[in-house]
Amino acid sequence: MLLPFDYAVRNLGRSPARLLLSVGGSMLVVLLILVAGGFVKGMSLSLQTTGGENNIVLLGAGSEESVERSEVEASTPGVVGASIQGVRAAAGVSFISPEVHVMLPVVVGEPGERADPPRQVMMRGVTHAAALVHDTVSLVEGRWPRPGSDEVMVGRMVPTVLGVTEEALTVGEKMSFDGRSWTIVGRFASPGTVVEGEVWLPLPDLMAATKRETISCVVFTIAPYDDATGEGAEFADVDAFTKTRPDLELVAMRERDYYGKLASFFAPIKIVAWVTAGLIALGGLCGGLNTMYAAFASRIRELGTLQSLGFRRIAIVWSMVQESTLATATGGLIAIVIGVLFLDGLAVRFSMGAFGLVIDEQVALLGLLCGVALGVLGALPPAMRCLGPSIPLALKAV
Amino acid sequence: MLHRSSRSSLAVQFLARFVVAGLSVVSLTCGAAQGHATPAIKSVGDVKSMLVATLPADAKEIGDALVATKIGDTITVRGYIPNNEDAFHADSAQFTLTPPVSSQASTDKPSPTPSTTMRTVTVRIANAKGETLKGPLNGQHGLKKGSEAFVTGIIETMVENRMTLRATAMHIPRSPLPPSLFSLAKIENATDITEARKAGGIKVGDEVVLRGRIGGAKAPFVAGRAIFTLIGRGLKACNENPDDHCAMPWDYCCETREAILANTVTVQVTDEKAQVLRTDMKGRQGLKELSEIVVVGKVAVADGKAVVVNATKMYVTR
Repeated sequence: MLLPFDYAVRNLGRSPARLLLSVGGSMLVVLLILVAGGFVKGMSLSLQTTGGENNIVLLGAGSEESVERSEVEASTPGVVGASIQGVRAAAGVSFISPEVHVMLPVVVGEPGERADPPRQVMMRGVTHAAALVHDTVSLVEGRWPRPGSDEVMVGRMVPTVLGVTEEALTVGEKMSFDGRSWTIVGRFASPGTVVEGEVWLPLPDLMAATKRETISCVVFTIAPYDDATGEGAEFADVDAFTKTRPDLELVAMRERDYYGKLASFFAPIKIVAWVTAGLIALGGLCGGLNTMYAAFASRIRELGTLQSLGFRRIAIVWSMVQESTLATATGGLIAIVIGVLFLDGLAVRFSMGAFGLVIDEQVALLGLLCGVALGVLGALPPAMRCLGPSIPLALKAV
Repeated sequence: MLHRSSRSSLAVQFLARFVVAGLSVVSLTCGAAQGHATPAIKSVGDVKSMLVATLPADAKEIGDALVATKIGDTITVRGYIPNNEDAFHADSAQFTLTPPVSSQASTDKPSPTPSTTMRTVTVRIANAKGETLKGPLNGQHGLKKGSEAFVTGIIETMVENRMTLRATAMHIPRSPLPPSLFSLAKIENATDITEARKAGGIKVGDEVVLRGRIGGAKAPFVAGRAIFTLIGRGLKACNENPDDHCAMPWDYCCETREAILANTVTVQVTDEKAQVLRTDMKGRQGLKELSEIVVVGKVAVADGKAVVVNATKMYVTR
């Protein structure tokens, strides 16, 4: 025979302070697990979703792991257009984007205007073809920068990267790098990708600022191959092209694969995040165990009475687990509400730019499961210990 | 009142039930995942789930398979679906595979036709009960007359030059490799790529016989295309240098890009429209990184920097 569920619920109210501690403790533990989960998920998603489905990036051979180290001859985009059949085109314009990617120290405002130390920001030198190739990028305010005018446009996450408010980087404001002042003429969005943490400016301007004659990469979009018509291209066709032109020293990668590889580069950081969350959860569990030992130890007589009334030990353990789990699950649910309302989308800066924490169903479920596990694991050992003494001994306990 | 030993027993029983329940959940989950990974073949449409994208590296030629295997063995054979009426069974999922013509009769005809003495493999696709699926396979899943196929399966019967294979997996290249491409006989008078390129004078249209090793890049093969890079003996692979434990010795990363370029030739197999064939080369005849091969072909590109050869014959030396 099991104890009524009401018994467990009513017991929770016997000590409001202890209930508050249990709920608050589990809430904090679950909240930290949500932060770790949201961090890992946000970082992974931002890297995995960056890059168009049919986009291919040509990098300098040997630079597969970092586009910033890559050097490609400036004439390569023309060769690609002439040599690879199946590159997507619209109104006679090929979807081929020559780009320079470089991390530069940037400060907000005119040079020397603010005392803030410069922060590294990913700068991308582009032509108008970038708008065709990167179809997730959309201008949300202002216009595209004009070459030769010291103009830039910034992604929505750049304020996070630079550690300033959004107002500091609105259209018309200034930012400085290369010892010069650049005017912000546009703001762009690229939801869920690391591109939002970048500053885009005309390719010739960035090449001049960085004194380079080569570009970093060529990004282009292929039209999917159609078996029936034989039109379009596949990644293998581009890969084969790089083999027939070894003199160009190129290596082809799917853009998504490139960013996916970067995600694996950040795997140790994700592990550290999980280990930290795990250690905190363990600490929370130990705290919970302590609380439960204290809570149950004072109820040995009550438990002995229940046994003498005919309730089996397993029924009493089950009731205690219910009691403990109710408290921790409540804490977990509160943490999930806080996480969804205040943590989801919270911008976090990292070396590739910035990304938003993602508190989705999976992360929330993980948090809730951890909350429930805290309740179960926290209740079992003290409950079993309290049921250890025989009934006469338990009834005599003070 | 419960005795102490009874209490211990209760606790152990509780824990045991908890663990058993947990394990049951895990095993059910794994079972479901396993079932999902190998769906049952019930109709010809389900044959798609048997197709594998990667060319199997351990495929045997039909002649070798007939000699070195026995009933019940699981093998992978490579063959061609002949251009005749018996290639596909009209009402059931069965088809015939024959060896490349060059290994049967030393002719270069691209479409092998089986004779009464020809070695053949009958491939049968069966459901879970072992019954051959109903319905013809011709024209489905890339299987058609003249197709090249790599079939993995269990040998059911072997009679003289014929065997029946119950297929468990298949790889169908999108373009069949010319049956006579790989030579069984050693090709003489080959020039090492380093010597040939150093001597100069390689022009577009020249017939060449070159020897080299597959390498010169981290990925010298292109997945899904009959193209790879070959490098001359003038350069040492990284693992030939003392105390060099390079994980990818075939990329010659210990050499300069200029040196690699000057000692490299790109080899491709093309169709009549000069398009590179849509099939893998890695794994064929044991081809892998640093395999040494001799290539006979015509120079398609020679611009002083890059040399591209359209291969017509190859011999794998090791």
